Amino acid sequence: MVSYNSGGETRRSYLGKAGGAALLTTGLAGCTGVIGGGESDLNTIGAAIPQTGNLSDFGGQFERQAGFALDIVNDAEERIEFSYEDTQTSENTGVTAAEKLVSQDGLPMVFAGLSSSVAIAIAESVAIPNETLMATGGTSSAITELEDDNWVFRTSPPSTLQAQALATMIADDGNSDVSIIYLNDDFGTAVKDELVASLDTLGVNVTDSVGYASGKSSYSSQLNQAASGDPDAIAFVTFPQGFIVMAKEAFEMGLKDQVAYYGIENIKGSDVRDNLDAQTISGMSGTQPSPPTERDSFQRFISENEERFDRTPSIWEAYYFDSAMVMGLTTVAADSYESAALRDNVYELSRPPGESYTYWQFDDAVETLANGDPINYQGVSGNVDINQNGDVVGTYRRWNFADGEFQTGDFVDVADDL
Amino acid sequence: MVSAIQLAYNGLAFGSVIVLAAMGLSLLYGIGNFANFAHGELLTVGAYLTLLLYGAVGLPFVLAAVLSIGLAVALGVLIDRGLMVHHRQSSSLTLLLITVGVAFILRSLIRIVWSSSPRSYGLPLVVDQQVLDSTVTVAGYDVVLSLGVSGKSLAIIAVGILAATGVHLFLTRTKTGVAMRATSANRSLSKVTGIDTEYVATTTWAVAAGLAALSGVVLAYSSGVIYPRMGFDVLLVVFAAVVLGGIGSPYGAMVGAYVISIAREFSVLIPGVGSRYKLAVAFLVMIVVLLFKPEGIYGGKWS
Repeated sequence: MVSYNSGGETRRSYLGKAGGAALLTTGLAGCTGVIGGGESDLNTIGAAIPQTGNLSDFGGQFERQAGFALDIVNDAEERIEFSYEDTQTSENTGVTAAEKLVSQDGLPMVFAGLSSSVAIAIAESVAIPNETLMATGGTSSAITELEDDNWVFRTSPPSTLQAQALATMIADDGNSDVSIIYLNDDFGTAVKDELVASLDTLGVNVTDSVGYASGKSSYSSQLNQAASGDPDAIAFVTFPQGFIVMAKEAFEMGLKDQVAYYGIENIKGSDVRDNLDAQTISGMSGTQPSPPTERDSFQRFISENEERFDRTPSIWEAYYFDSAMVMGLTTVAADSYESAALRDNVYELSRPPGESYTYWQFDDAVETLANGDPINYQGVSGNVDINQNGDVVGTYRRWNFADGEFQTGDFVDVADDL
Repeated sequence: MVSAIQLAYNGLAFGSVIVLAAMGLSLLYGIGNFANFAHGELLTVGAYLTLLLYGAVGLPFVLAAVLSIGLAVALGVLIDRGLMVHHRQSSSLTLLLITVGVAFILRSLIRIVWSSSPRSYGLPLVVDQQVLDSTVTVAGYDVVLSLGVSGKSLAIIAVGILAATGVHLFLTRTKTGVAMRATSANRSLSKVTGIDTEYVATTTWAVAAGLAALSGVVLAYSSGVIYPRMGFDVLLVVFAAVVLGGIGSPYGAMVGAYVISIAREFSVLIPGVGSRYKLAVAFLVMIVVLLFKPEGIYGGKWS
């Protein structure tokens, strides 16, 4: 779920820009429609995204990156355009918006939902029943579980996969007994379940997994329970506010010296750094999703974004850009602009064995496709190898807390067994 | 296996935070006959004012806490003289909704000034000292006897007990306190006998707000985190303590606060009940007690 990402202020501050981008893009889309006129190969992709509501600034980010991708796809030849509808970050409005795109406008491919709840609502009541290919920005593991007959895919890794990276790290560090403290909600439980399963596969014994509710002033009983099985380490599937209370309390209880601490990405940040004495969490490690920062494609994406939009894009924008590029390539690869043909191509072109192409090699990729050869799109956010669940794996890095700061460490090679 | 002694001690420490808020809440109900939903925010205000005076202004912590309690008292007087004074005859529901409104306004103001990000006092860490650490076998069962105690938790318990004693002395040894008890028993009769019930109402707000602010500071000191919902998050437990003790009675609130806090901690001893069900167990205790004693442990009595 997008809403679990931290940094509310920064998201809000882009609201103004997002609104502007929305006007500009819809304006342009309208123009191309008119200029193109009559017989044209211009294919319309529906996009039901939040232009208002909680995630409206993410909607603006999507439009910005979709516009960027559009320029590349349409560079040599006018190929695609986006038709936007507003979900208002709400399930009901989202379904109505998607219905307009799919049922009324008859579009065979849509991008829908930046939050998981809206994405799932649209997938279940519009895309899957209407056999429409749907890309989405939601990150809930519930999207993986959808009975969707391959109609739904995404380029953003499901949030639970972080647990596989965390489990790999915990096992590689030589821990044999681990307990878990997790937030007792949908997200926390899903991550915990994946973590337990992954640790189990890797031969690490989970001594206890203890749920907690947020907003409590003490977690001593959770900490006691987590420590009772004498584990080597405790994995914290927690958010900053609860974690601050726990870490301080664990230190006061004398737990800190007995176990190693691990945590998910949500712990890393200034909230935890500024509100905890550094010694309470020194030596703690965790995982965070990370774009492949060392790759050319990512670096070029960043610098071109900075040039065009005068701002550094978020990891979400890299996902949205990849979504738009994959949809653009799919329209080229499919022999007709129909749902079934699109679905038959989208998975293949994202992954091996085809020859690899990055976004600026779009025209070369088109040529290869025209010759009847397979391609493998290399995204800016990662390899973007979409599996049969419609998911990508994502890349993760280690973080360590040392010298009073969170420090970014190496990339984690998720164990092959997972 | 967890140590029951440790759980009792932890319950005592948490009860000392709750008792501070519960006494004020109960006093307000006893005198004004309304449930103050802004009580949680008075805790939060106390915690943030101390953060301002200690963290930003740089006063010593205890002085900052005392000054913020003074400011909270002023806020309590302001709420009463500016708002509640116009509603002495209003129904309990009207009063309740007014306090909900005050709660939202206070919480929003806190968000505007300090944002929603968590804060902390950054006080030095205090590590528990093990005063007990052994296991005895009783009738074939291993009983863990261990107890970790720190200056911090002892200070919190001392503050709770001292404040409860203070409230008791205030209500029994001062003229204003006696007037408060009289007003709570029968407002009209008190007025006829010459008690200034307006003064009593305002004083009640002052005392309740001051105690709430103290509770907020202690809560933030204990948990190590300050955030805009912190007071509201414990308000439910405070209400439970007040109802369990017998709503309207400060003595009931004292008993209720400790009973509910210790019951909450002990819930983890019940096999199969995880620590995430602590609150449910605490409320179960409240419901069961009310089944047998519907008026609460103290039944609204003031002595």
